[in-house]
Amino acid sequence: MAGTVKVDQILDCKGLLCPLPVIRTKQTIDKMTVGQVLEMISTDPGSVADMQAWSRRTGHELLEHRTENGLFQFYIRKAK
Amino acid sequence: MKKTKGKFVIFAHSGTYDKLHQIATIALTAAAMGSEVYIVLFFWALKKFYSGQLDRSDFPVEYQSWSHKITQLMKEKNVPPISEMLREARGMGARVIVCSAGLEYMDIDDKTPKDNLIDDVWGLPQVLTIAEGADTVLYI
Repeated sequence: MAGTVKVDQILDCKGLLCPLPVIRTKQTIDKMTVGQVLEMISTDPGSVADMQAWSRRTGHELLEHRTENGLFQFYIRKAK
Repeated sequence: MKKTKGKFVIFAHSGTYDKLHQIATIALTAAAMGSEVYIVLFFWALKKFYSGQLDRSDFPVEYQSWSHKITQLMKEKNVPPISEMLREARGMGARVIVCSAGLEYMDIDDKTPKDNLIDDVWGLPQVLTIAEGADTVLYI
């Protein structure tokens, strides 16, 4: 994904517990412009379900998520 | 009243750390998910807000033996203080409301809000009016 979509900002949420990855994502994406893509990296295993719920609720587009070596990576496009 | 999508009301009654932590994290998450959030303070929650010791790690009597261990783990895991989470929730639009009668009968000498975390003082009619149109109402 990072190879095909330009990532505008990276947010490192490693070590943060729920609900902080979602909170920091919201705070960061609020400061970005519509259409920009945020990459968020988390170690919280709940963040996969949490980010899906948050993006459904807020309308921001969760382009992809992947899991690798205990790291969860999310690519979110700001929608509004 | 027309039901408002995403309105989230927490009736905050308890004043121990565990319950207030729940109130703060739930309010913060709901606000981050776009809900219109109200935390209404009654009884022990109200008293704790005015004590200036909102972040004091006091657990209910039945869980006292766990208090030290859990407090230590929360520190190690960098869990934010309650006041900080509430401040962030308010930054996202959450409102903290005080029950006007509770202010009078909860033996609060100094009615000056502590930590700048109170948005308004309401009576029950206004509180119930807000709660009537809510999607989620919690009593903690």
